Amino acid sequence: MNSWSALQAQLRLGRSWSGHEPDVAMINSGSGRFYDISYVAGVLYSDDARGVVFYDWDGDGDLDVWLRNRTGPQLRFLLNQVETGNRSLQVRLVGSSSNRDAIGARVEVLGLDKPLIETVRAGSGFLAQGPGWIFFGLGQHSGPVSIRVRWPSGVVETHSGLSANARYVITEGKKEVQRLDLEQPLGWPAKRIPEAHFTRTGSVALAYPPRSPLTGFRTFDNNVISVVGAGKATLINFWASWCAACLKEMEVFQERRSLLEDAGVQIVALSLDDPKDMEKAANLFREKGYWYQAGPAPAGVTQLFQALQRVITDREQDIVLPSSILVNSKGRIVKIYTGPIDPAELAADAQRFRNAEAVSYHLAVPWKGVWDGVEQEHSALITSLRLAEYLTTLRAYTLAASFARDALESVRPEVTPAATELRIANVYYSIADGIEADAPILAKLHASRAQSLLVASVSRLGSALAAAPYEGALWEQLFKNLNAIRDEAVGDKLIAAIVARLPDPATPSETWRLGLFLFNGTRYREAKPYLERALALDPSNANADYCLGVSLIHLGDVANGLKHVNAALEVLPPWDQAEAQVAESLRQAGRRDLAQRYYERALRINPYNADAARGLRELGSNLASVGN
Amino acid sequence: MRARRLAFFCLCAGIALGCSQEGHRSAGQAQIGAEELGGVAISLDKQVEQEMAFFDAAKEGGEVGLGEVLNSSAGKVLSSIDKAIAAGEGIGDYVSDGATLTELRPSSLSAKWERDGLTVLAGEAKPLEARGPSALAQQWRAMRQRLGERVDMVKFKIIRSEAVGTKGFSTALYLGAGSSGADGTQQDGGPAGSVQQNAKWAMEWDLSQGADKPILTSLKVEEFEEVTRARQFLREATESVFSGVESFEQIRYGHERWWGGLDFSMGANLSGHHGFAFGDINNDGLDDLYVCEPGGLPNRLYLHQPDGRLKDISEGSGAELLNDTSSALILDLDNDGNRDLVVGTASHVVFLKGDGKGRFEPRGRYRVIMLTSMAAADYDRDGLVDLYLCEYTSSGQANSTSSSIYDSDQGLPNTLLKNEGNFQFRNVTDEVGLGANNNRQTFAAAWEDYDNDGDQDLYVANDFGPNQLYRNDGGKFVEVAAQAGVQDQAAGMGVSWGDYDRDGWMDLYVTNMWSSAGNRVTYNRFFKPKAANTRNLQYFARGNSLFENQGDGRFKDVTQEARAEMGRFAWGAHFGDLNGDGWLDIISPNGFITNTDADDL
Repeated sequence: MNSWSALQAQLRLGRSWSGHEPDVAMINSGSGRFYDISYVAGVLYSDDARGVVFYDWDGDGDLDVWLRNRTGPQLRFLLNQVETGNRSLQVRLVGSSSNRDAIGARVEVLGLDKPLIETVRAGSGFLAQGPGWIFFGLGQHSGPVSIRVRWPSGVVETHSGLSANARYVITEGKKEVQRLDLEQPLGWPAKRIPEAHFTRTGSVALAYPPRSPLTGFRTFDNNVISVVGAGKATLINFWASWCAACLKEMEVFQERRSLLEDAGVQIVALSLDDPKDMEKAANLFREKGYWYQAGPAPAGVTQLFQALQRVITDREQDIVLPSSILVNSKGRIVKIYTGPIDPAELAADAQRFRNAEAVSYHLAVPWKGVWDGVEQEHSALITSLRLAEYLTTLRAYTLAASFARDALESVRPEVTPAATELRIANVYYSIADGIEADAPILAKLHASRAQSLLVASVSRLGSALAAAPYEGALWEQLFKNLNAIRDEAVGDKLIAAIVARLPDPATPSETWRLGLFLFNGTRYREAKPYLERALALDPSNANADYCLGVSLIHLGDVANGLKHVNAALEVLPPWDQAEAQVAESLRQAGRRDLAQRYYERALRINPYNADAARGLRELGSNLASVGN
Repeated sequence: MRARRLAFFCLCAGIALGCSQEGHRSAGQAQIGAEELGGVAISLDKQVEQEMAFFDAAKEGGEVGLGEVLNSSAGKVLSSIDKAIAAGEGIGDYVSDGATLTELRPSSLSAKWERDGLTVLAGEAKPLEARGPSALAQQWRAMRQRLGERVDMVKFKIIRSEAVGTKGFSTALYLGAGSSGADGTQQDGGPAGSVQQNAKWAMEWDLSQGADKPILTSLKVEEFEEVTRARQFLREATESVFSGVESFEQIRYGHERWWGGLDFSMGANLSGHHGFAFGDINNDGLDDLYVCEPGGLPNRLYLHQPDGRLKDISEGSGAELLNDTSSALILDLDNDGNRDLVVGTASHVVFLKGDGKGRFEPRGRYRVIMLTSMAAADYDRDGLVDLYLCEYTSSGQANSTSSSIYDSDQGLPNTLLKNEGNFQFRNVTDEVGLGANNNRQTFAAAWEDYDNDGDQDLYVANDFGPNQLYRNDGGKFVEVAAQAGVQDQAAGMGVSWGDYDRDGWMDLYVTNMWSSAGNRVTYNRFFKPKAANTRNLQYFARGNSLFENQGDGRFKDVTQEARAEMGRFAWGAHFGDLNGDGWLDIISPNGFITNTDADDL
């Protein structure tokens, strides 16, 4: 069970985790004891706060506070109004032979009854950098102050005769200092921004608009509304006759007809009423005589919306009614809305996303900005792929296949990672499995798409390995993709061809590594010759001996295999995983008696070895016999 | 995988009845959670199922799990009592007639500490002869009376729960309450008198009427403090500092809006780890503000103007990156007198050269996997400031079960980038000795010369594992956390250095997770997953840690005696002298994920 994923799933459903926690302030009594003064300090904001910075923002001689939050407001600025009569000294250092920001410089205030030190830092707390000014509270000390600066260069300088309640800019190697007087405190009124209000509603534009799998709808009166080709944006709106908010929204659509029509919007209002109530819903709609169209929601639309919500916003929640999907005239899903729509927003969206293509993140961001090298990082393919994957888990195979095709068509062999190709192939295999009973021919077609994609990616990985045969990561991906191919004969042929193209290893170590890569990929037939050669070149290589033994067992030569294995295990330190792996190979070779012995050996080394315990259970053996 | 049940709920404010229809209005997916988790509220950590399969005890009638169930009903009862008393209603349903009590607000309160108009009163609560609901109500009112009408906060936090016999259980809790005070008059929008009550209560409950209906049989106040001051220290002026700034609409809303308002594929994510940096961009002596934002929202660059307000100069500055950004630093990397920007995005650390006028141009980038914080110092004292980059885990690994919550070695290595001038940086992590124990899930690091030898040492705070202290010996580092006594094996999230005791040696305040559920569960006497681990797990949920620098290379853990642990589920807690008396105070920003649901996981 993957618990962080389970937890994330809970959070996506709207649960909190140590949320609603007020910030904490503690005051230092000066005698080793702190007191919680959160309320009196004025920091009781139940935000999800991440960082805090102390900085005399208004230059009046006390430290103001900036808070950085996950929730809104993302920043809070708190003005210090402490008014204690305590004095302060602030210093900004400029390095000459030291780094110019003087980061690492140590400043000490001299002549007080206790030491007072501070350091110039850049990066402290969490995700935060405080100001370059360093601050000393001097308490009631009012006389002139001396400070000693130890610069990062190692130079130590003393400055005397500084006044309390002032700020100084001090340059390394310079006697003169620049003095700045304190400013008047900012007289801004206190105004508390309420903690964030959480909502299940909102709208989000898609950065990579996929093609809508729904291209047309049947109205209550059996007309067909086409989504593509009308030169219009289509709002697919979900409603139900029992939903008052939906009926109200539909009135609003009616009232704002000219705005929406001018913006080129057509609306299809799809009823989610129960089939038995559908006629009632149809009559209700007909009575109103609205300018737009309505009909029963076809099967699967709610799953489509659920998938969009989950993949686009990483939120998992009930479908709020009303909800809507905006499809542009090119048939791409450009925006989703949960809750009632503001017609002005809809009209603007129809214009804004009119020409949105598969890659439209520049349109999807709510504020202007620049991407740093993002083209390589993002790909339109991923949105389609994730939609297909999610819909597969909902068993919405027809919708999944539509997005899978989008993903497949976006594959560009030179840039698409082999791991992504594997995900696409797995989606196709899952779809094939899901529809096999109902549509066996289509299932075969999907499975063959998966296989062709994998064969192509494995071949490409093979070529890469011919050039760089010792890249472990390439081998790892190769076997993931190779072993996903369901037609074993095809897989066998591919690996044979790949091995045939490998350059000859030059050293015993290279020989052993190629053997190990193939062994780890469970390609024992191909691993065997390399392991044999590695062992011949270096008979002390017990690991190679072990791998060769396991390979032989897998290839049916149990007697010789065990000879190698036992010789190796005698030399190697106690190794429960190895014992369990041998047992597994024996079990697969049909030697249950021998398998049990090795599982038991594994458990003697490590009683918590889960593979061995499971293996023994599957053999029907009794755990109680272990350890005798 | 089970296909998810589809459910609808109707959005219709105030007219819920009008739009409900059987089968359409569901209880809501969000409410399934607690039951699916076996009714166990575990804030401690979900990654530890192997070590804490124990929590499943609830299903099997185990005591720890049951305690957690009771805890939630006890919390509800306390809120009900508070509400009933405020409304002038009776509390006989919640309190037994024979309930034994102490004073809630001790009659013997006296000033324990005073400074600058702030007073801390404390006293011992005497046992009462009177028993039962009306006596408790009287005490409750007396305590609340001090707070007056305008109570801003009452918060109960249950920290222990344990079964007593077969029909009862006991709890311990922290109470925090604050208000502008009974005699407070308004002054420029802020309260004139502010009162805060901090208390620790021990309570016993009778369960004979069922686990969902605990009856209070005993309440003993173990600690009580009342903090008063004529004025609060801080007043919020966020809207003033942003007045006239259009992009405040971006900042005003947080994750609760942008999570649902941004396409996730652009890089927004759940945890909302985005920081900020202060530094003087335009050499006017005022430190400006750079705000790091999730993918799809531009990072913001605000100039700090002489009148105190911000001016948004993001657009066209070159610094308005839309990439998912966790942290940033404002530094003069090339010592040309103009500060530059180091921006830590989800894929790269991006170097931007500043012109001193608010414009930046890209000067290269360094690949990262899952960057959290960054910290800069000139470790080799060559006059160029170097960068330490903290990384957590790769995204694949972040989703996997770590080996242990207090000894995880699943982290990505952190990196020291040596500044070689002209925006050239080189990874020198291993060659300078920072490769030691460099496999933790790091949230933060901070440089400081803890041994007063003139070079910058480095402390690294890790989630789920021991922290590192790297002592700098002339440009080479030795990892000395264990011998220095600062491994602080907990969920480390932040580091702050400061000489809190004013002995001339820098002390260390490490932010950790303070988890009430973790406290309850790990201190329960039935909690013995593997006995040897219990202490580690208790420590794990303890909270922030304060380490006093002894001046001999070692630190002393003074957290408990200094009462510095309770920072809640904290992130970057930091030292700062709030009242200018020379003694460093602490602010602990906290809270992990606040969502639509009021209940915690």
